[in-house]
Order: sequence, then structure tokens, then C-alpha cells
Amino acid sequence: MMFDKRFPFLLALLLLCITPLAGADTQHRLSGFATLGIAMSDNPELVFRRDVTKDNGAYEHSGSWKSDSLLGLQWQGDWSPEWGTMVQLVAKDRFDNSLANSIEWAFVRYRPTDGLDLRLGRLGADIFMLSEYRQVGYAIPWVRPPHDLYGITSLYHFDGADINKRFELGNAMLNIKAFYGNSNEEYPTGFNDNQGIKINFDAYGAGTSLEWNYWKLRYTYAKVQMNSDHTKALRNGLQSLAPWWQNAAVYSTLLETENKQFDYSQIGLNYDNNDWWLQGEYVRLGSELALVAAGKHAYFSVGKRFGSWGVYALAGYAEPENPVIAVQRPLIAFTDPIDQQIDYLAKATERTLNGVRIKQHSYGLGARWDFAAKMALKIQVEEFDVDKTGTNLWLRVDSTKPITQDQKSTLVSLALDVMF
Amino acid sequence: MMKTFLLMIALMCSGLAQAEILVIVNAQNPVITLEKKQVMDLFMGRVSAFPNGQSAETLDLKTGMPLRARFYKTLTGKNEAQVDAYWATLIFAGRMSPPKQLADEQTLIAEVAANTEAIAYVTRQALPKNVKIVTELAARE
Repeated sequence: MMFDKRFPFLLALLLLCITPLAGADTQHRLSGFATLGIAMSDNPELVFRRDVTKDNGAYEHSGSWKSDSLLGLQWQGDWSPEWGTMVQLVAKDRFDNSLANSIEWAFVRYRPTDGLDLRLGRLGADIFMLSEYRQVGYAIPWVRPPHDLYGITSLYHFDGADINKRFELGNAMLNIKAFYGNSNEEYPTGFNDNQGIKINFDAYGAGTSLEWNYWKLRYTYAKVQMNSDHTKALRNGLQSLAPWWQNAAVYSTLLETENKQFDYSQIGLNYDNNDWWLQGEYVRLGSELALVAAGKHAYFSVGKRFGSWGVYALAGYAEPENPVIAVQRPLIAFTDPIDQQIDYLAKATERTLNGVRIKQHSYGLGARWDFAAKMALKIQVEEFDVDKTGTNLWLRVDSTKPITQDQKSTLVSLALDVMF
Repeated sequence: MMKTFLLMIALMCSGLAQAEILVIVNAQNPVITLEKKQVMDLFMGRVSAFPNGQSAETLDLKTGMPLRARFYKTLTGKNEAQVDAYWATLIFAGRMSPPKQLADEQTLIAEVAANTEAIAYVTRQALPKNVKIVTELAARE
């Protein structure tokens, strides 16, 4: 590494500290958002979680307050039309709940001319349509961003830079954006065991969005390069048995993470004529690593407003690209302890390779009531069909027991969203 | 009887006139007139400058004030909750600063009179010399 990857983040923090010295013209704005939510699932074997960054969620017969509840606080300082700074802190149930991780954004923005923004620091990973405000319940029509797609998104922010340029095309507005950054955070393994892995990766990409009358269309491509090795112990074990186990080398290669890449291709469409609205999004996740399951994720939602009330329907699906990998141990039997070791490794390899699969679909109905200024109440009922070979958006109640049957869950969610 | 009739007519006319919203800037602002779409782009955070490139500061009334609701409904067709939800997507993404909210129309006018970058909306009324109208909106009730 030429320089510390935390450099943009640290620089932004430094600049934020000197902002108050910038002068009396600086405008300070404090704002925030909060959600108090409860999610109730009726499946006895699976635990509902909002996304793969969560290590806990809703069990059968016990609603989860922690899935959707959060509090966000934001400070914004505009010290001139060109220069601005922002910090956003979000308190919620997260796997690695350090203060550093609670800082969602912390950046300095430079706007040399209207329509061109350069930002440096900790930035929102703007890969999907709702990425930059997916935690702001008041800003979205549903209780949470649709699970079949947003459940996979582990990347909330990165430390780096982005550039955004706006073009006016008659009545339409085109935005083009490019970003680059690094992330180094701890994620749960997904086995409901309080274990985590610290993943270091670089992310870069570009996106474009077009707004025209009631329509909004958007396309983004983003690539993630893994810098860390997460399967060394398992691969070492496999390689030590390679002389006796022909497939061990193949599995070992599949398990590699360091310097491997995966990518997101996203398209999104939104229409809102203030009476009816619809939104759809499709993401194809391509991957060189078996630990990030390649697949297709999509949702579609349509809603109608009646004054301060609104109702909506939504449907979504997630489909892995590759079949389940059956790990076969060598046919000849060895003497113990080698035989035991092979059995254990075969099981661990299969669990690791297939545990990341996501295969499910859902449909649901919901309502939103804007009962007071900047406050909304929502109720949402969804039916999930989860394939036994693709449960990774959920946790297993008993992580030692494999899921042998396809699963269903009726998820009822209530939320109170406010902004201030 | 005739007097009452005339008074009623006068009241009705003033009622109609009251329904009009004036979009105002500082008299020293070189902008002469703005189209409805340009006002919308400014107040919905799509742009942060006047068409001539000079930076703009949008001024707003506090949430819940009837004129605010009428202004946004006329401009965008959205009710206040929709406008606030829309702004939440920009504010909490760190993209744009929301319009500065002030307590009443007189404060808006005073701020526009003092700030050459300011733009605000008020009901039809007599305005001081250092404030000028760039467009009028026929309010949708």
C-alpha cells in the first residue's frame, strides 16, 4: 500500500475539526431520523434479519425490536457555496458496534460550480437505488428496503472519494457519478454463533441516473476487490490432504478470497405522479469467489396515495446463479484420525461453500399513514418462500442443524418513522 | 344593500388575489424572471444556483404553515409529507442542504431584502423596494 487506506477518512475528520474556524458565515444544521419498529416472523427454524450485516433478528413467537429500530443524527456545515461538511451517526443494533462504525458518513464536499460535486471522506456506498438513504424509514414507502434485494447489501459506506456531475437535457436531468473507496469492517459469519470476520475490500464504480417528469431511471456498475484472506485455515487443511484427496485442491481454489472480485450491475426504475407510484429494481451479482454467491435479485412495488394514507404491494425474488456444490470425500477409507479429519473438512467445506446461497421469493402488502408532520406509521405483511438450499438472508435457530425442508415465513412488521 | 353587495365582491376579489403566491428575490439580483420549472429545481434541491450560475439560497416557511403546503402543492403537486420525505432522501444522503426555514412571511421578506442570494415565496402583498418578484404562481387549493 502506498498510503494508509484510512487517509481520506482521517483527512475528512481533520477538516471537520477546523470547520468551526471557517468563519461566522458558516451555517450549521442539525437534523435526524429515527425508526421504532417491530418485526414478527412465524417460522420455527429461521430467524428473520434485515440484512446480512445483522447477527440477530426475529424468532418465532418473539418479535424483534432490534431489526429495524435505529436513531440517526446529522450535522451539516455549509461554510460557503463551494465548501460543505457533513457527519452522520447512526445508533442501531450492529455486529461491530464501535463508534468508528457508527459514523455512517463524514465527508468534505467541494462544489466548484453548481452541478459538480467532489466529496472526500467516509461516503455512502451509492450502488443501489435506496443505498444512500436506506436507513431513513421516513424517506421510503416500505417498513424497510425490500428484503430479497437489500438483504444482500453489506456495504453501507466506504472511505474514499466520489465525483458527481449534472447535465441538463431539455426538461430532463442526467447525473453521472464515479466513486472509489476502501472498507475494513467486521461482519457476522451468518451461522448465528456471534462469530465475525473482518473483511477488507476496495470498491469502485460508476452510475448514471436520469430524471424526467414523473420518471427516474438509474444504472450503476460497481466492482469490489477483496483484500483479505478468510479461508486460510480451511484451505491449509484441504491442501494437507491433497495427496489422498483428489478434489481437495479444487475446493481449496474455490474457497480463495484474497484478490478475488465480485461486481454489481444494477438497474432501477421509479415512477411517481403523486397519486400512483411504482418502483422496480434488478441487480445481477457476479462473483469470482464462492464465498459471495453470484445471483440475481429483484423487486417490484406499486402504491397508491389517499391524502395522508397510502397503500402498496410488493414482490421480490433472489436466485443464485450456481448449483449447490456437493463436496465428495475420497471413496477409499483411511484409518483414523485421518478419516475423521477428512469427514470434518468435507462437511466444513460444504457448509462454507453452500452457506452463502440465497434463494427465496416474497410478496406482501402494506400501508403508510402520515399522521403528523414528519411522522409516519407503517404496517407491512409479507410471505416469504425460502428454498432449503438458499437461506443465507436468514439465520438458523439451531446453526448445527441443517435445513432439510423448504421454509415459509409470514412476516408482520410495524414501524414508526420520524425525521427532525 | 348595494354597499353590502360591493363589499362582498371586494372580499371575493381579495380572496382570489390572496390565492396568488409571489416568488421573490433581492432587487440587486440580476435575475429578472424565472420559469415555474426553475423555481421547482431550486426548491426541490435539483440545482443550487440561479440560471445565470450565481449561487442561490432558498428560504422556506416552517413545516405545517398553510402557505408552505400551498406553495409546494402548486409547484410540485406534492403534499407536505411527500415534500418532506423527498427532502429526506437528499438531506440524509448528504447531497443538498434543505431550504432554511423561517417563522413567518415578514421574516422571509426581511431576509430577502438583506441577502442578494436569497429566494423565497410570499402571498401577494405590498413589498419593500429592495425586493422584486421573479414569478407568480396561481395557487392550487
